[in-house]
Amino acid sequence: MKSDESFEREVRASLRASAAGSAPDQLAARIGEIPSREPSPRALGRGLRSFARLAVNLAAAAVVVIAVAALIVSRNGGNLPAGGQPTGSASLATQGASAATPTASAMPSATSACGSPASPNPASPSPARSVAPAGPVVVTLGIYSGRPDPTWTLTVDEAAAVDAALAALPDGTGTPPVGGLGYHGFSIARPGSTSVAYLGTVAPPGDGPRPMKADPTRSIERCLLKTSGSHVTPDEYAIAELAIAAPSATSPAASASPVPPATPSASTALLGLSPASVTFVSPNDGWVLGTGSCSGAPCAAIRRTADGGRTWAAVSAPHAAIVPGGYQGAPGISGIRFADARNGWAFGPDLWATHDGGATWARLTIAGLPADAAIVALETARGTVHAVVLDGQDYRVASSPIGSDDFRLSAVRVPVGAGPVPSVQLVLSGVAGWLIENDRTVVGGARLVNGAWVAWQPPCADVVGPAFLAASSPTELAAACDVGLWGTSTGDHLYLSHDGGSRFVESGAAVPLQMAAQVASASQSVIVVGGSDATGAVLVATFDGGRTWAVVAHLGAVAIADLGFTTATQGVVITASANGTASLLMTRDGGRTWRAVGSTGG
Amino acid sequence: MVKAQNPDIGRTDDPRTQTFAELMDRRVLDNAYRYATLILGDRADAEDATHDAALTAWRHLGELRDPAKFEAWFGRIVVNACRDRLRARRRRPVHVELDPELSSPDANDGLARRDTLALAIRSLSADHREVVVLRFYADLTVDQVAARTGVGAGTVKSRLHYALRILRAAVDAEDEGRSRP
Repeated sequence: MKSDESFEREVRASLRASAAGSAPDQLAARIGEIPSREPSPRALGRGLRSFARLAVNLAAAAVVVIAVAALIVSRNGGNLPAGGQPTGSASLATQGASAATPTASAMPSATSACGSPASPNPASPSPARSVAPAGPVVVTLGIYSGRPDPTWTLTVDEAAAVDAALAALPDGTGTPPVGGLGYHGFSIARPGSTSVAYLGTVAPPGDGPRPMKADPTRSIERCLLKTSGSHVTPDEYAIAELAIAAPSATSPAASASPVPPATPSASTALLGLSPASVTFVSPNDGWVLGTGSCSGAPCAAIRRTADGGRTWAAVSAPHAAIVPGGYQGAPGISGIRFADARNGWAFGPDLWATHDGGATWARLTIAGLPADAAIVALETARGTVHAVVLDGQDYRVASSPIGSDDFRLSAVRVPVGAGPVPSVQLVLSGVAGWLIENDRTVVGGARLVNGAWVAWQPPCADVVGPAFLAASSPTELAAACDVGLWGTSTGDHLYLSHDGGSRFVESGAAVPLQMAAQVASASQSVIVVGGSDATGAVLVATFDGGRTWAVVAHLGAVAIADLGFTTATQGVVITASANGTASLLMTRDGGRTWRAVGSTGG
Repeated sequence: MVKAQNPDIGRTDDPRTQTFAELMDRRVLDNAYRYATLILGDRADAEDATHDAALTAWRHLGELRDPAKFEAWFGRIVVNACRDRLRARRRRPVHVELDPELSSPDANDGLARRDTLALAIRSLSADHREVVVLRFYADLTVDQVAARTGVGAGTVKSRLHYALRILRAAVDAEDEGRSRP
């Protein structure tokens, strides 16, 4: 018998001999046609939700302009409204190829705060930077401990702008604040001198009282951040920007002598969180899962509100990575749901549970499933939590009483479709529930009847496109179907059921969208659909059961996730922009207006 | 390293298309196609699976945060595209395409042994064939195979162990058969 090593060599040789040659030219040609033939690749919601049929001629430049505009708006700080019980889970896939680079079209183009010409577009590589005649001015963003901080050299114009801004600040003497972990100011190094801009002061490094400039509006820090260009990542930028948005040590509202910044325990902001998923169990009580910062590194983080989204506080999160909900092989979580103030779950593809309101989390496994089974959807209602599991071959539903982590697998199986990216939506309303699988088109479904999951024929199985489901009661369902999306598209259409999903009938007017991504139903007559039209992502709504429609929110170049209603008037949606940042929007008037729960203000 | 841009993806000012063309170069495409051929044993299916994977990659390009990791990311998509093909195949009669020379008797013991081995590889279960191809053809480490297939490293090791045992048994049986009078 040959040795293992020798046998493995044989296997290699056999495989090399059996492998095909190069890919045929015709295959290369087919792949080469993809960009011109296929919808623009923008992820909308979980899984594959491209803006199909979005006009290919929508120039990339226009998209960038939309993104920049949207992001600048978002950076200016939205208002802070409040919440909904989502019916879907969030996937914050970024969109557009530009996400591969830290585009940060979001980063403002330099120096209006400094009163000088704009600095380079941070999205592009930094151009050659001419150095100030007095020597280089090197700026370092203090944000890390134990690893190098981002550093860059100011251009002549930028240096002049900083000098002018500094000259305008009043001189004084005092003991400047000293930063700790996280953001701790900008170092400005010139030949022969260094100063530190932090918390509204600019002073040489050192201890004790010394000459310093008071900068109550933190104009120098803002100015320096805007010169950072491509030298900082979007995450680093966001961390610094959030820190600088806080009051300065020298602001009139602050104490007379500078003090170190306080760690906020509750805030009108989401505390630096980039939301991935949101859940509300009442008009007041909600949780947001997203990517936060742990010692400068991205990590899963959770914020809780007890006042309908007006203020937020940090609570413990599972020690897991936030994953975009896409591909296999990446452990982590992408969604969050709570049943009440104590019992909650973070999931997708892993499964974590808390039974003490998020103080502690435990990772769960479900008996009877392979180790690599993935949780792809989870919802809870009436004391039971239901999780949709992909066991490698089929989708199955595992259900447990909310307090016991005793998940039992249902007998029904929904086979995975043959398309490239299957996705599943789970909808619950009272004692009723529905599971629908799309894989380009509607593939299959299951329904919760008398406490048991059974096979179910979902709507729009014959329309050659996907369907998205929402329920406002155990009998009232709405399905937004992209009719002909993978054939000859005839647009998005609404189908309604008044008997719990046994029979669906198309409602009057077509939904004014090119493609749907999410749907939420506040009542039999109020239905909101998130999707895309020629302008980008939009929310459209009907308030008369589908007879007429109106666009209620233009969202720009973003992906939509977790659209849902908590009550007949309060709803929620998450939007994710091309550079990976995300926003939480809420409605408090039954879907007519949507306002951002921004990073500042409320 | 300068990568050869896929010439089949036309020149354009669209940055998405440019990125796609740069990442989906001919070497990446060849590797994907060869992998699909080994897994599926059918060149037409392999072409379709590679095309499906490229389509998926195009649509999900925005989820790729680090272009340097494109190959591993696309590799996972190819693995899944092949799985999709295998699942779809369960619903129709299986046709395994064999090269004529592969199934013909050969007087040369070495070649016959290699043919036996090739047939045995094709007869492996999809899960076993997947790890064997990724480990011994794509030359990935166990951890890399685990990442690409979405199973744990322990599962990969286990599958490799059993797959190699099956292959060795097939070859040994062939050897025994030949040594008998």
